[in-house]
Amino acid sequence: MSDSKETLATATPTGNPTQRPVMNKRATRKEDGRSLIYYSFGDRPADEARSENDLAAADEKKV
Amino acid sequence: MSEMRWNPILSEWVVTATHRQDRTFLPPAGYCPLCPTAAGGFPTEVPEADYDFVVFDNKFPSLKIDAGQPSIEGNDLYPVRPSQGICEVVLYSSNHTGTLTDLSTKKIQELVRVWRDRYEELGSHKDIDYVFIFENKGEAIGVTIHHPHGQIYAFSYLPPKIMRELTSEKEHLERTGRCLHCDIVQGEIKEAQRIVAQSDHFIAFIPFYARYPYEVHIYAKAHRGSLSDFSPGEENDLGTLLHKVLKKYDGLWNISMPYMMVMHQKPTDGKDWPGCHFHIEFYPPLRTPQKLKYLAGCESGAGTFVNDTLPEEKAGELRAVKI
Repeated sequence: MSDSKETLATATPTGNPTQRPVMNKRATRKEDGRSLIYYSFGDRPADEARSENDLAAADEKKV
Repeated sequence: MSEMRWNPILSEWVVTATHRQDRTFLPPAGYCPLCPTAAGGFPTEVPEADYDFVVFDNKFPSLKIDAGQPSIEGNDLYPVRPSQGICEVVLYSSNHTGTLTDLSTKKIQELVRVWRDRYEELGSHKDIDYVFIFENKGEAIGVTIHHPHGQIYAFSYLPPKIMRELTSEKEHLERTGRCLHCDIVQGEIKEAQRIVAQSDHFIAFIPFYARYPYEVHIYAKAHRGSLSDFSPGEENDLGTLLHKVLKKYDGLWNISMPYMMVMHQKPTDGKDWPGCHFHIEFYPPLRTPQKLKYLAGCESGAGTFVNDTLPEEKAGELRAVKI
């Protein structure tokens, strides 16, 4: 290991080579400037999942 | 007002955070600030409900990255410094009820990945030397909001308990050429009597030197310094064993076991810490379903814990819990 912060995210993992699931991360800011990060897992990005839910909600309202 | 004041007797910093006196305290049903904002309802911390996990800056932080100047001037005897750092809240679910134990094993495995992401992102900040991930669960611990959540404190320095642990690791490594924690894990595997559960890559046991009756530690069996060192399979394995331990806790007396859960891993100060070994420590305050283990005079005043129980017996109790 070198003496650098850059190595933090690049440590070589060993062991079971199982693939990681897709982790979607959407960072936003609150009105007061604080950070707010949404995490979702799966094949769809968080934005896509949200827009589909919005569409579903809109459909429900139409009914 | 928030600042860090030096205690010259114990050689450690104390954080003052007077604004936290006004933080939310056990809000009534329907007024949880961590629930998603309801249509027409009051604005909460989280506008949306469609997520697996949410992380946000604590509204009442003990530490801030842009911490203001101390409210009082320091001197040689009493140095002061800005209480610099980052405090985050990690929501496990948009559902107000339930606990970490109630999540699926798959979701806890995903939470491990969120923890890793936070460790790496916060740790990459130039002013952050230590990323401390933890959860306080239950009113017995002092929880003020029941919505299932954990916390992260990113420190601009190495906290005293961490520093003490790092010093012991360094001394052991220099003396034996081996990792202190690896030796502990190998010893526990060999003795077996304090093991609570284990998997391919992780082991849960009540340590020989436990201070609380049901103090379980979860260790990576191989030498891993931090969450960043885990393979995808190891991350899954950690989530699986963590879930098993949580279920054993709740199954012990069929109550939702209160606890403090803390993670110890490699500092993010850019230095090499070869003796550091990732592990999770649980400190449940109960010694029976009705009796608390108090941090009383001897513990608080002398720093010596008195454990009324034997780790070997308590590990056997947890091991026997069917889940």
